[in-house]
Amino acid sequence: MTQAFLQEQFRARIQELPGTETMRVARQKAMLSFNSSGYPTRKWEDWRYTDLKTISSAEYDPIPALPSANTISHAKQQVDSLGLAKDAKSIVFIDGYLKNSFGPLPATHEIEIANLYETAEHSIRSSTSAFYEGMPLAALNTAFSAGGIYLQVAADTIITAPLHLIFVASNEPSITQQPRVVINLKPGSQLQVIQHFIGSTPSISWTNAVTQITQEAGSTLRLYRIQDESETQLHTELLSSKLAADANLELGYVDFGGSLVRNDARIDLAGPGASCSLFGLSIANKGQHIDNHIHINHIEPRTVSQQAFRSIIGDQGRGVFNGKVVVQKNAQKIDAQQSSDNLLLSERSEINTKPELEIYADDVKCTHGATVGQLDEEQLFYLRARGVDETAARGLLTFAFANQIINRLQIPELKERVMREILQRLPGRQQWDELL
Amino acid sequence: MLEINNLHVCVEEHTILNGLTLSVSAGEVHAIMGPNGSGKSTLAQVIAGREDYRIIKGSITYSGQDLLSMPAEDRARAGLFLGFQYPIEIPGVNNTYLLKAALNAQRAARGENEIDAFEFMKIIKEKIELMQIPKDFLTRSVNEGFSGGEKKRNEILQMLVLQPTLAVLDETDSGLDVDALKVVADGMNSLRSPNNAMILVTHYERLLEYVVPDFVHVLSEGKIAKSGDSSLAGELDKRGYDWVQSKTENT
Amino acid sequence: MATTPDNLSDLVEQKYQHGFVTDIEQDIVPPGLNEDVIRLISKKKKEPAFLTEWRLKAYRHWLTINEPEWAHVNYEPIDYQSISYYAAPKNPDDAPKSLDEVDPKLLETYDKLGIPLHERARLAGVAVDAVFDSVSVATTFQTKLADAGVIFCSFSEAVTKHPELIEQYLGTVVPQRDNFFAALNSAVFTDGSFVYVPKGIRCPMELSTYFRINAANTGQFERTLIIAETGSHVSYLEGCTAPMRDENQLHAAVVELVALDDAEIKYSTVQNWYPGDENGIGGIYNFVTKRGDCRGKNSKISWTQVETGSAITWKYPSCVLRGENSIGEFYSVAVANNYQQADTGTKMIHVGRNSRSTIISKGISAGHAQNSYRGLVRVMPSASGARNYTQCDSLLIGDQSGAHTFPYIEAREPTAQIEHEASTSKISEDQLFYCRQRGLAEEDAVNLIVNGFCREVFKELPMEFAVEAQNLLNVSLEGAVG
Repeated sequence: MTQAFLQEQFRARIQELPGTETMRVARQKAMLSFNSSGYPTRKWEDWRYTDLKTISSAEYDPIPALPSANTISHAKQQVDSLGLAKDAKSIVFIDGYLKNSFGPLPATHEIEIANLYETAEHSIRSSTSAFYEGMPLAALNTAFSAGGIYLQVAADTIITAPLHLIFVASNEPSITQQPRVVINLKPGSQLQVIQHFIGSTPSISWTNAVTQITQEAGSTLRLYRIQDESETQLHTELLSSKLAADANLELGYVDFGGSLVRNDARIDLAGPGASCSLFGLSIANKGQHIDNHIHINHIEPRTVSQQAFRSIIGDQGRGVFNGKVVVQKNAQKIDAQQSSDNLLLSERSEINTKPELEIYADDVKCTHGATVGQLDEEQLFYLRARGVDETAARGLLTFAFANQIINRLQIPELKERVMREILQRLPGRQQWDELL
Repeated sequence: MLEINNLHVCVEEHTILNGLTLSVSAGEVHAIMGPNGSGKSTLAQVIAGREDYRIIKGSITYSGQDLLSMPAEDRARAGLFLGFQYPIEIPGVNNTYLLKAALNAQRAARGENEIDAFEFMKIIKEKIELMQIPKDFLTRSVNEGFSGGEKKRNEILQMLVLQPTLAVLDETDSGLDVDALKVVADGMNSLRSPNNAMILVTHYERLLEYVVPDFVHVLSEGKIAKSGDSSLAGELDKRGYDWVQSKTENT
Repeated sequence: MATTPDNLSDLVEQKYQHGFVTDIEQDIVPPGLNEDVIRLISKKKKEPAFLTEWRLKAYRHWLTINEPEWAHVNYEPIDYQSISYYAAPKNPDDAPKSLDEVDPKLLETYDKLGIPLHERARLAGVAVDAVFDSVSVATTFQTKLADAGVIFCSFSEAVTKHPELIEQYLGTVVPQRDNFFAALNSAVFTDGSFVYVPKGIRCPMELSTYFRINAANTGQFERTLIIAETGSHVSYLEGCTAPMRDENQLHAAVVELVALDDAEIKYSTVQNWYPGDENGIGGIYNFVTKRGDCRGKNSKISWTQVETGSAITWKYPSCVLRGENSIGEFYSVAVANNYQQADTGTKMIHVGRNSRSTIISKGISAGHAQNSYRGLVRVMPSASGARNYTQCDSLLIGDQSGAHTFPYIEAREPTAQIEHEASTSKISEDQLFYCRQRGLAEEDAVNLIVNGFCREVFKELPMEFAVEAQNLLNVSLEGAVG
């Protein structure tokens, strides 16, 4: 969508967007910010390998129509197909709108769950310019977001059952869904969240999501994000997280779908002893472009970060990885590790990876590694010598490569589901299914 | 030669040594034993001059000098040697080079000339054979790619080349199989003389069957709980450290 | 460049459009850059018309592009109109008559670096005739080379004696349009080295910039071209460990290497350009474009460098691996201390099948310095079977400096294998204590460990440089610890 189009849409339709008058002012500020910077272009260092032309030149409805009964029932089918347990706690968004018709919001005395735009204080606090500075797409989401959720866990409370946030892209063509999630963990609390991005739009639409997390001292969050949208979907998102002392974040990314995917994660280790561990798996086939851009900021001493990302790039697929670790001057005695491992399966596959380090302290331990390659010839031969045919052997080894990441999913039902999805996308699986 | 008097040592907020007193004379071999966490390694590191430890109270005199006021390298040049519990790797720095630099530092402190290259190679080759260390050691980097046992043998090799006046060996026997242990013990015994002394810090009494100490001390709760002759080691082996602790509690 | 009265008497006084008269005989060219200045330079050097045109083309392009900006490098804007683009050779009357007249601190540095006695006078700028040995050694050197058919002379000399080679190869590895400083250099380059090794010849000795007949200050816009014909082999050493000062702050050199089938070029650099005082004032800006073209099958180009000087360093010696089975190597130690800023690295572009590249980069940051490694490994779709191994380590000394790593890895070929590892840390306390407990003073321990850290690179240097390089490392880190 061109800037001119967006500006015009914003002016004409801002009243359709939820929230108070103060919220509207915040939206306007965000829109101004987006206008002054415009879309990121390939001249921007962080966008060197990812072109947003398909988004900036097309025309999508930035504020989609409210889901019809038909859309809702269709969405329900899609949610059901996720196969979640009957008692699973889930919150559903359809086309970016928070939909309560699947059941009431599963709030309890331990976890506050509210419609973001119905809680003035939280919605405004999460929409300040400091948050979307340098991130025009996040500014756009702040301006246009029509649906959001606010989650807060009380101090020292452990929520044992994972919370599912499901974002369904309906069959509506050419729309933009811009959901927003704000999570606040009080000191010592623990929460598990799974974000599912699903959809099966036949035509092209755009998801532009934002998740904002604040973790107070000693809190623990496990957040897995599984993106399995249609192959024509455009997907951009920002996950921004601030951790206080001794807080811990485990973040898992799995991407199968989308034609153009760009995941930005910005993590501030803002208290001594804070730690984060990230892992990700992308499978890019047939012209898919999947870009993971991670930025971890060690602000305080004794903070620890770990990143392990793997990608499998098939025919005409493109993978991009950027793992930037910045260690500020006073962040002494920190430990930062990164690895980016990539498998190219075809002549027309492409990978661009850049694990970066910017270090201003000295008592640090920082390492990173990146590999690009193909399957191990020796391992392939071993399997073939045991009677497995070549295609199946390749499929098996490719699966083994992916499995290193899948194994890190600590929620068993989710792990199984992801494993099944991946198996479906790997070549020659019929032959080697039984071998697993 | 070494007088440790009422030593109190702290690391961050924890007191590790709590009034340790020990006296070692020339020609003696002392064994310091004790359960894990009793402060044995701390004692060894403090004697060698590691700066991470805070000395709250007490003194250490070495050949009449105030040891605690000397930086680590000066202690080394005065003839003090520490055999590390976990010898560190230093990539790119040649084993031979380090040893030669160390030997020359000692000689310089004694007002002697640097050692002649030829003579040095002679000494080194002799000691390498004695310690059963493979010849490629000469070209490898310090401790790089060494197994645990090889690292310990390297420590003893260095000790034999440097001929220290006081050798403090920190758990040099840990991780060694019987054959390696014998080689290491032979190296240690070959150094024994009326002019020097050794302090063996060890958890197990196995080493002490080969290198028989003159005195055995048991470290408990940061101080020496019990001292005796070499037979004390045998008793500890039979009865365990709890025996000493319970004894001290009853007194 | 040494010019004698005989050369100058051939030149004619001219009037220029801008109204000033340039008296060529006096070798005075006012500061400023325009087409006339370029024509003048070209005329003084008696260059053929094609080269004058080539310079002008570069200049015209340079006018249309902007100076690049980099995030971690800050410097005062350069006024290109205040630079004099033609430097007259120094008046021999001004030079020190003997070592007694040379700054004792400089001599002390030569001592610490272990520079051979007979070199010190020449390096300090003492008039050449006070040093006998180097002249006779140089003569023997040239005879040996001539016997082998190797051409090793100044670039200017090559232009007049071998213009066809210059025309064939100049700008084919680093085109004028490649970047801002390459364009500037192509317009105003002063002199440099030219090497041509004929087919099948293994150059009988290492070529060092010491022994070039016209070795004097090559000036700030050095241009070097090395051509290795099929099956040939040459090792070239550039620079020296002695601290080099220059009134000219900006150095923008271009080095082009061409290796044909089965040829090998080894290019080693030890550079200690004046880095400025402890507060970072007055150092040299070193913006260099160095590139090697592995044109032929099985060709090989290795870059080995030890960089400890300059206030600002911007250089990425690179290899284009065109030929099948070609090999590119980059071994580097880059030290930044006090207020130095270095943004250096390499680019390995894999085009040919089974091409291989190895990158070993060791960065040391001390004082208030900023040291960045910026590397690119790009595998094009044609480079099946390509292999790269990169190891990039940074050592931080003191807590006021910065060490940054920006490795770009772009792969477009499924059978390529790329492995990249990087680590950043400070000198481990355990290692320091181990050395001290063996009697080494702390500073010696640091030197030992730092040298060990750089060892993989040092062992790629030609012998004579390796020892000096180690000393250079120690000298450049003096005062960094404690």
